Amino acid sequence: MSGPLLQVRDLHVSHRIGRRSLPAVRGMDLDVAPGEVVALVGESGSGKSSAVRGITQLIRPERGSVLLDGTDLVGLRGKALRRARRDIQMVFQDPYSSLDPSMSVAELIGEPLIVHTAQGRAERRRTAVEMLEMVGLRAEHADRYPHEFSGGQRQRIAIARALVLRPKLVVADEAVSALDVSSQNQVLALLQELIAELGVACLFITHDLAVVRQIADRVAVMYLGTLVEQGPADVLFDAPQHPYTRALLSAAPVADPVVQRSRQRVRLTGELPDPMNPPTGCVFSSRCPDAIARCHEEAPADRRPRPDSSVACHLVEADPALQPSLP
Amino acid sequence: MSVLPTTRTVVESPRRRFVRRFTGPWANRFALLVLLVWLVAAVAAPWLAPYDPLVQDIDARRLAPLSDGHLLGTDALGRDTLSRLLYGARVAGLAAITSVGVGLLGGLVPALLAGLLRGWWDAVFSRIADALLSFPPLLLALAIVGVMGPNLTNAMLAIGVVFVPRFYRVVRAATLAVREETFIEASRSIGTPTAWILRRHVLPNVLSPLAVQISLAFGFAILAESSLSFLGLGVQPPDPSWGSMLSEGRAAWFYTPWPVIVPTVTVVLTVLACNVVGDGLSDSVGREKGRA
Amino acid sequence: MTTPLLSVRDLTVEFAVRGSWQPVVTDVSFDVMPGQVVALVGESGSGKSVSCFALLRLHGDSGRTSRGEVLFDGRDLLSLSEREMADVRGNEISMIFQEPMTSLNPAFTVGSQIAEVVRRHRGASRAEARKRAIEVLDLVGIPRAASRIGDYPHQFSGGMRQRVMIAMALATDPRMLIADEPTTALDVTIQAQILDLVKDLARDFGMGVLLVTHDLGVVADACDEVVVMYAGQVVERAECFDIFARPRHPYTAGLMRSLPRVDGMGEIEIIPGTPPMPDQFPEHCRFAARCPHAVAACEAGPVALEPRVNGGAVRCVRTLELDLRRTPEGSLA
Repeated sequence: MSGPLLQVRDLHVSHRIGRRSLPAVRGMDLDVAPGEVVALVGESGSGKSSAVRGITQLIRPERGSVLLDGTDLVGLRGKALRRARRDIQMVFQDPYSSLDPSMSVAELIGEPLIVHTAQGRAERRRTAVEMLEMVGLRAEHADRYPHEFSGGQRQRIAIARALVLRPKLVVADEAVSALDVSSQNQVLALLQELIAELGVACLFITHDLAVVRQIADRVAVMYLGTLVEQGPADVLFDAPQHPYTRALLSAAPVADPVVQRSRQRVRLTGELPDPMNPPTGCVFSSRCPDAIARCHEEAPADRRPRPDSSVACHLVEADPALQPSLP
Repeated sequence: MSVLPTTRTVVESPRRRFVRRFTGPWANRFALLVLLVWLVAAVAAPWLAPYDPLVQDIDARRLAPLSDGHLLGTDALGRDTLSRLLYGARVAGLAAITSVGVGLLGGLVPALLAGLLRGWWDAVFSRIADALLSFPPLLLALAIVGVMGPNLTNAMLAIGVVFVPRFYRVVRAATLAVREETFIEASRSIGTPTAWILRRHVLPNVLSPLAVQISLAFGFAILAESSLSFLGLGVQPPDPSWGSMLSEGRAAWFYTPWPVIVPTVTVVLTVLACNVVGDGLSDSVGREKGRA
Repeated sequence: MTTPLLSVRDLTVEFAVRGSWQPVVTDVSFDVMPGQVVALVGESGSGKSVSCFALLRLHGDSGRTSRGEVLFDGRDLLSLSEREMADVRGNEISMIFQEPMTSLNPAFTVGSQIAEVVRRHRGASRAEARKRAIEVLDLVGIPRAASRIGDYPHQFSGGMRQRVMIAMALATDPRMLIADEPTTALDVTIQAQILDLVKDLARDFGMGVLLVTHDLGVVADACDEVVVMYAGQVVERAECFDIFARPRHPYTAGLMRSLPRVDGMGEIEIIPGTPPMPDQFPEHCRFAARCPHAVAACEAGPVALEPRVNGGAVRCVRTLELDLRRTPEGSLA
């Protein structure tokens, strides 16, 4: 395996609320290999959107590094940062507000080309039409405006826009969550097909576990600003290690009454803690059904039950061969 | 969530929807007609005016309308009221354009920057705007004219300064709203420079509220020009302006009311038309937020 | 057999679109028994929400119910006076909506908002209403209910706010609850808790529940009966286990196959195209244009809702010839 395309290390992102600073991401490590689809999963308040914005530099991280192909995006400013953005494009959740209503479809798809290439007007238009056809729309759609399209079609336009520069990484922030059932699947299938075809890596942020199961190679589960578990999708879904992952998976209903009504649910007590004062020790300790005394005192380090996965939990047995020797 | 099912088979373009909504009420259509007449009068005054507005005709003083080739009569010095009215329209138009132009020049770009970038820009520009706003508009104009001397250009610059904080506020508020839209973030994520974002994404989306403000400002500018000219601080005699016509006719208005009534009605109609268009615009430009 | 609590018959709702009345929901019929949770399933634009609003006559001036009846406990809600209807709404039938934040008034404490409902419908005294408010907040699982009734809506998290909405809906002991996508805006762990609550209320108090949703996982978890809507019509109606095991309408089958499942079972098959808009509803089968099993007979004329094998009803001319069951290992055949 070649080295990771995206390498996030010790990422900290905070939001300013008046004078106070609200920590949203507190020390995140994440890798995305070239061509890989990694899903970042978490509930509202988990910090997954802040993590995305920290990675794409839409919010300047407080600490940590975001290496894209070896270049640390965190230190970049102005022109250098804008140039680096060519390789990391985004698709946003709400296709109704992420496309400027005053621009035509051709202009929308052409905008990244104006910023990053020397293509002329005619050439840009040709590229835009090419992209439109690629995402299943037609050339005659080029001169229409976003309001003339349905949610699914708009998200196709957004995908065309994100792929027009052939980036190395596409960051999709809840890209299909706002869509209707049938268009959700169509758009998801399209995204999956295109990133495979173009060999683009994808960081896919979602709260919908069923979607993750379908699209992701690897999954990272986020809780209160930290990653509690990550690993290959099949492993994580079939044998979740962290109690929070188990709770999350067991809460997602399966669309089959026979299966669903025989499932055991891991019930969580209490509510998501206030991020301003997280629980001492493990972040999940205040709601964990399995918590022991140690969990309330000491934050667990990442353990590696398998070579390709890691879990932040005291109760998980690490594979001794993979554990760094203790001092 | 709306209960209404979304039927969007025949998609109406925003422009067509705007035209349909705007030209619906009769008041809007009437106001547009008034403004059109004003525009024609202002542009074509030299060709339309039957007499030289400055030439006095001792034999034809204080004529009533429709008498002896003077459609709207003459004033105390025997000048043709219609001709003076037409030239006055020109003055009013020029005045409105100058002052609105000054207002835009001073208000627009700072507002876009303040709204998009917030922080330091916003703090500085907003304080200046607040300070300007704390003066009563006409008093501020009077003060500026008082210092710079009474003539039309100074008067209009003064009124333009009055507009600056008003345009600033509207555009800043609209920019703040547009700024929260994801497409701004989306464009930033592409790597678009700020100036480009302002020009391509923010500006087109703040034009609607600005258009409303501009048409209201036109009304105010006409009123202000008339007021200043009436007080002798704007257009200087013998040049015609609706305000100075009023002022000149007022001494004898009890005997010959026409030279007073005609400019008064004109000012009222034009200002009213501007305000009606402003209201009509704000009712019709609402962006469609519907979901399929 | 008990009599249904709510019985909807041939409900047809029209909306004014550019001056003409356009039918948006056609001939919708279903029953809700006491203690039963019935799912109304469909994509947006299928008419599921419109039907719900029409039941309570909340469709506003742009809509009208042109046909059908809504029998609640034997009374036709559509023939009640506006005043009598207001008495039914929020009292005997309560409704909760998708977005809890916009349905609560931010200027009042949640306690006073719940108490107001109790006082209006039950004529209770201030003290009684307050007591009831604490009771219902407790019932929906809000910790320390007595001390939280003085809190404002913004002081609650999304899941807690939805519970407050449910508490408000339950404060008058309604016999029927209509919930329009009550968990769509919530996280899965919260959704699971809310669904448990709804199931408990139906079982313990005999409350009838009409649950509008697009999420088949929610349906599989909580519902007894399923009504599937497509393009303003009921296309299939059946008992929950049966409809999942043996869907009899190609749309139902397609919907089930098009969803990724969290247990990773089954291949995803996507229904091509998009549902028609109300002004494009064809005379014949409305799903024919997207149906993989469509034949000439499907476009011959209107398709009636016929009794279905194993109970319920289905609107498909080919229902008896087709085997729409999902093979566990994907489509091997």
